[in-house]
Amino acid sequence: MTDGRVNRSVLVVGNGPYCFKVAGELASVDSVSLAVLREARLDEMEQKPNLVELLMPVELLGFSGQPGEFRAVFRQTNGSHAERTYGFVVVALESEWISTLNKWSVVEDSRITSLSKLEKYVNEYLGNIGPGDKVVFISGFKQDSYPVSQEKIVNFAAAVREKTGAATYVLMEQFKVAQEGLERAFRLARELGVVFVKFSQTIPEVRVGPKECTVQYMDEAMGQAVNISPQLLIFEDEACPPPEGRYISDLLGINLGNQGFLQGDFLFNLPIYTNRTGIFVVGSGKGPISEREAEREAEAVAEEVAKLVCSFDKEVVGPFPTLNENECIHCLTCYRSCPHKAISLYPGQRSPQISPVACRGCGICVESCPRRAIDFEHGESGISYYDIDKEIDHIVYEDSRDVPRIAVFACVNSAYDAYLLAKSRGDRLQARCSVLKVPCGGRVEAAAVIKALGSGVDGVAILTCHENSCKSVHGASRCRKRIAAVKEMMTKCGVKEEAILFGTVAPGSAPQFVELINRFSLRLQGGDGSSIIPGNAGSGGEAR
Amino acid sequence: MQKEVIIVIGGGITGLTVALELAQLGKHPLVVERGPLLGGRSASLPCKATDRCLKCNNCLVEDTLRQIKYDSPFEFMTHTTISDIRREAESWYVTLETGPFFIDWEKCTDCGACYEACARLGASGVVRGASINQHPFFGIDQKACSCLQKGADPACVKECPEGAINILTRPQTRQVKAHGIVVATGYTPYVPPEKNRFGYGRLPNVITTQEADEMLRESGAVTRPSDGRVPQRVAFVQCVGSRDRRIGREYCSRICCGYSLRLALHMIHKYPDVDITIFYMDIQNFGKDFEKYYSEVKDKAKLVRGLPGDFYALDEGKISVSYFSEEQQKNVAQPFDLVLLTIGLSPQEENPDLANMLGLGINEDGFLRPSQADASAVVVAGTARGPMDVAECICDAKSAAFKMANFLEGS
Amino acid sequence: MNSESGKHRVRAKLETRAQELTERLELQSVRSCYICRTCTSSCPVTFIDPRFNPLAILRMVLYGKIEEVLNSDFLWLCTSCYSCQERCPQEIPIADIMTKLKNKAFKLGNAPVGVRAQMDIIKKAGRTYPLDDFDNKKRAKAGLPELPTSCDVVKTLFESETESLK
Repeated sequence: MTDGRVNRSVLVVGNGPYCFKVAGELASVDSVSLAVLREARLDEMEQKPNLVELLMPVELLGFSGQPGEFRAVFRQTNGSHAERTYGFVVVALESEWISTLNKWSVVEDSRITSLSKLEKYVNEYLGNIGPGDKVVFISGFKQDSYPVSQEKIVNFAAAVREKTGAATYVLMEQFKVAQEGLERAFRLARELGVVFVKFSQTIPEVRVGPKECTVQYMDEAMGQAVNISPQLLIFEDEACPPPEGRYISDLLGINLGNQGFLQGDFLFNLPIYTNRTGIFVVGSGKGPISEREAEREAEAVAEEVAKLVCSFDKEVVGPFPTLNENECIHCLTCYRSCPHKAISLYPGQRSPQISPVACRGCGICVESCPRRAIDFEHGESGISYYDIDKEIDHIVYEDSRDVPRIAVFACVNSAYDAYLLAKSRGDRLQARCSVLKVPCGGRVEAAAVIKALGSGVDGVAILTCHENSCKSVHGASRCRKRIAAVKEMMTKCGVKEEAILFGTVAPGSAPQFVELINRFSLRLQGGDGSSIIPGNAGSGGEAR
Repeated sequence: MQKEVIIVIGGGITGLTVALELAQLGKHPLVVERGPLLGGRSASLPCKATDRCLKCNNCLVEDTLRQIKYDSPFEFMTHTTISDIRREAESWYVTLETGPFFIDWEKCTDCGACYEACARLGASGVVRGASINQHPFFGIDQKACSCLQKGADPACVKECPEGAINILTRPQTRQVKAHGIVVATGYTPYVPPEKNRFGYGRLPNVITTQEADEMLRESGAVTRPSDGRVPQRVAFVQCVGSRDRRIGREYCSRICCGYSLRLALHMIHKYPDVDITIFYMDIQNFGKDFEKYYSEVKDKAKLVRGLPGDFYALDEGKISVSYFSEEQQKNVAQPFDLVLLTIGLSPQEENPDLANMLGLGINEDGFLRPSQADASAVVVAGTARGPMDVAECICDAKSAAFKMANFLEGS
Repeated sequence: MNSESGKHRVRAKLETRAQELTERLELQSVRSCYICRTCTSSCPVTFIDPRFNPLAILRMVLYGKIEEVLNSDFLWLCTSCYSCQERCPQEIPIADIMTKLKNKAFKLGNAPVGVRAQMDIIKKAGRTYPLDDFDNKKRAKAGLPELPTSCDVVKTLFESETESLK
């Protein structure tokens, strides 16, 4: 727990010019330190940000703590170590553009190059190009292409055509125009005479001889083969995740996404969040984005930080787990299972500490604690969380033979909303449901499911968010696995596992909620040929 | 100190996010919405998940709405338009016009008595929110109000147990002194014109993706309007109202490729036998992890490069769609049960007027652009600036809130 | 450097010829094409005879293969229905381009026999279907007004056009 003195400074971690821009935006909010993992060129900066400290180049060796008191350990080039405390961290690593020449089995020379090399040595490459020459750009085929890189190609192709008069061809898989003004730039390039060729069935062939290189392809729209011997051949680069991404994400305890790009594959991470409160990711490290979008993210993260600073001044409201130190056996299950890394271990402290700022109230720690040493305190926010156990004791059902009785554990972020929506729409449920609001599917313990089942209901449904749209990162998937285990256990005990349903439903999907419940109800009644309700005469099901 | 009010024009996801952020920074936003409800178009996006979330972003909207519903962090006005904006010294004087319906949201309990009263008359004047997190959950669409048309006293006014609904004989005006203005007026979905080759408006089973959205949200499935049956063969036609100079829209609407791929995956997940063909020019990837969906669709559906030509009615509500077949190297006509036109995002019609009033620019595509001079007192955010998805709108809204807060601190 | 620019000149020459023809026939608008295939999928001819493919013709013009188009017989399959032109999202006057190409091909003597025969009939009779008294009798029975059996004005038009071609 914090000692009341919260640190409001921000650490920006970057590897190139972009992190300076981000630091500049943040500097208007709070004191900013910048750790650049590589030597970056400062002279490109229009305006040097007002920094408390610039560490460049620097190695980030250690990281611990919670929002308001993150501790970072650095090693500088002279070998000296430094330890600092920060309130927040912004990861502003940039992705890299890597040449694709080796994927095409060609070697770079004066006629063959990559887009980034062309960008760097444009005069050298174009110096010898004149009217009657041919220049070919190749985009895609061996890698994903993005509007950012295609914008460069379009502009280069137009410039080559206009300034040198060379016949210019752009061979591409898709024309990615999803960026402001790009469709227009694309047309202007065509009107200048740049020939764009699109491929969907075939791919161009590149042959490099000692004297000339040839590009052979099928113009699918024309239905004819084309053979070009270009004087200059340029390949689009591949967008690769920042090389430091994996190390930094491991160190900071933030989830990594697809192909090693930053930001885990979870809906609620969008646009700039991570699984940890107070740690943000911005810029192309998450995947190639345009400069304007990157700028927007820098401003958005400045807003997030300003907001968090404001929230420090307020009292923490809402559900907050507390740990009973007398029960805690220091097994660290909670520490390992918290999706938001809100639980810390401090030297000298008897038990793990839960950060009120970082905790998002999912209750996964409550579920995972083998000693039941963690419990929720009811907060003042609009959503209150039930003690599931007590709630189950209160489930009282009237005797009804018409429809099955179902206890529904509904995640407050999804299924519970869907249930309320269905109710307000007047949708008909073919079951008598008792709906228990839970903070997350991950909060529902196996024991609670079994207890609910033992309370006299015909079935228990556990409805959560879809995996990867779970606000608690792995809450829904933990829940799914747990329910599968409960079912397996029940089968082994000779009890029909069909009385338990695990389902996923979105908050706005009232029809899906109704469909799930009604199908479950049908199953319980033996609508699918196997009644498991004692005394139900629907279809020769086995009565127990 | 006097409250520094910031007028946020538009109660969609962008406007609400801006207001929420500003409120959390201790500022005083006032959201002005011309429609009856808050939440905008994004509130009725349907979930397109398979057994995994495909990031259609609706849950992000629900999350924002939920926060607003439970915390009520800012003031808002529905059924309200802006009739005048004047600039005097450092302030804006904004005249707001509310009516003819005026609903006191502090009294309203979302009980739905008005909705039932209206439905009993067989009218659809009272509209219901698509999300339970929308507060107000009910509102009045004055154009659809049958009582007003007949000159009768609206039933909803009489039935409201809280007396929250008022009908004004004259629109109520209110002048607000504002220190800043955030324009978050959003976009208009493209509607194919009366004479269009797709047969939209003429063939019942040719619908727009917006209509498919409404259907999916309301009933949980995309079915054929003619008979309510689940379609076996479905065609998606991309770029309807986008990338088309002929209709003055020389831009890519960006979100539609992702939309179609997600909906296609959702439909295949729900009805594994469904046969989906997507007619496209170029697949636009943007947004995180998009390429994954594209390769999955390539395996499970048919992607045809090239836009189709003719759409003719066949028996049983089927539609014949002609296109150039790359494999056969000739034009073929294929029957489909349902055709979905993936429509683009158009700029709001009012953009020129708004630009005029606030000294903003209009970009080549007709969307709003902040003017260079005095940029910070008026901020434009979200799809009013150009096509973007929900996650981008939220990001843009946060950046707009940041700019506005900075401006207020500075002034 | 001199030999380099000489090489450029030779290569440029080849490109220029096609370019000249493109400019003379005012076909530059083909460059606007972004391969959406609306023209081809809307073409009623491509349905029957895939040898005629408006997009392929536009591409050939773009690649400078105009002579190949002018020497082709598929060019003459276009019925000038204007479906392609009406729908082209890049506003390329595709049907007009086809007409321009057909005119040029005709001047080069590349028109197929059928087209030339039809042309001769129009020249002689002023119509694609020559009328005689029998037709007028039938028209009179149907209550339709009489039409002239020869159309000298058209003849005169053709004569002046042929003059100008020489």
